[in-house]
Amino acid sequence: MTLFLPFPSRMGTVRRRRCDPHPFTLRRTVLDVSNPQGTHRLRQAERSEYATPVFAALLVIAVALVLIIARKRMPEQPAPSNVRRTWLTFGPRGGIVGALLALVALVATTVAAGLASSPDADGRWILLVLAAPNAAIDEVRPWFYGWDFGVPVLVCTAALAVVAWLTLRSSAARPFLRPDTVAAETIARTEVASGTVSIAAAGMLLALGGAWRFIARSGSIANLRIEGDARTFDITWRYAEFAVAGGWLAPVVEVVAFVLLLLVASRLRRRPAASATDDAPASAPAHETASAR
Amino acid sequence: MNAPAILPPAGDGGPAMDIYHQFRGLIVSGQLGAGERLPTVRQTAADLGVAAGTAAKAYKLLEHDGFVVTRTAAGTRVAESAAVLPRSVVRRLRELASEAEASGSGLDDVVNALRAVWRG
Repeated sequence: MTLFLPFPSRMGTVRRRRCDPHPFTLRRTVLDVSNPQGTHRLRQAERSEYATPVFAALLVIAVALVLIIARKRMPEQPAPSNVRRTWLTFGPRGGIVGALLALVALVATTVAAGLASSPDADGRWILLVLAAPNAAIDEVRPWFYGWDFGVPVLVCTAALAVVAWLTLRSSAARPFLRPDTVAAETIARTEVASGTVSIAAAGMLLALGGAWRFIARSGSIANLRIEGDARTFDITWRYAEFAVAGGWLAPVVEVVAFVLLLLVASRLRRRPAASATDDAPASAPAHETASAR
Repeated sequence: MNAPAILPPAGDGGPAMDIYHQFRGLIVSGQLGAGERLPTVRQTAADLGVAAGTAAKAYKLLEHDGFVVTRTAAGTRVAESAAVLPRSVVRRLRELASEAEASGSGLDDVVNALRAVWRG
């Protein structure tokens, strides 16, 4: 038996496409229910594509961490500080809270989707089982953001959180070079912390947007037609409303992510001018005490 | 490679005593509030270019004289009995100083305004 399904073509056996009246369906394909998984093999690259933004952010921040550690210098003059410098000292509080919210949302989405997913014949958790109530037809099994997609995201997110924390901590813990450079170094560390938090948040938001799009694509399927049958069958999924909401919110979080990346890029572009002023003697060391709080 | 100690000599007992005097001065002058955490031993040692053991020795001297209290997991904090002002007041004073500096306000003007506000 062959079912019409709203489904990306690369995820099923494509025979024919038709216009789809369903507002959340991009296109229809035909899926052979006798072989729901088709002949496609889930390659490693496809499995980890949702983790790519998080992994890219992880790489960038890891490079920054290596540079911070490699460039660690002994102070030329003692610059005593009565402030305990932690990973939070130079970080933008609002940005850190936002990044933590993005982390929680990404992890919660991934775990929830993983729990809602089902395994295919090969034991890969990449399917969502959708039933058509009061109809004598098989369950529909579109591809879904299951554990096979989510586990790489969770692993990369955990690594990103650890590396970002280490970067903030290492940047803050470095001794100041001289008392007269404390103010300039404070500004530089604030920018490093802000960039680190922005890149981490952007990576997680891009992954979150991709996950929400994928979930919306599969979870918002509302009806199907059988080839050669004029009837339309309603399909229900108890979390369909969340899937639809995720589909609407996905562009928002992606735009926020790109804005964050653009802000980081703009800061990098004007950094040469700023670093020139960093060399100038700064104000009294007491400034660090006040501003680093 | 061990870097040479670069703490300026105070003439009464070496780097550990210098660190001790520095923090004692900060506490009795009100720059560190009651219950406020001191920098970690490692941070102090790195900032001043001394060995961690030297900074730890200074912290033990401070604890011995009742200026700080050290508890596991809570770090080293300024003792309530030794501090001049509570932590919350000192924090707001720092914020005030930072804000005044950023806005270009003079110290005398800020002190006079604070005095006037204090008197109501």
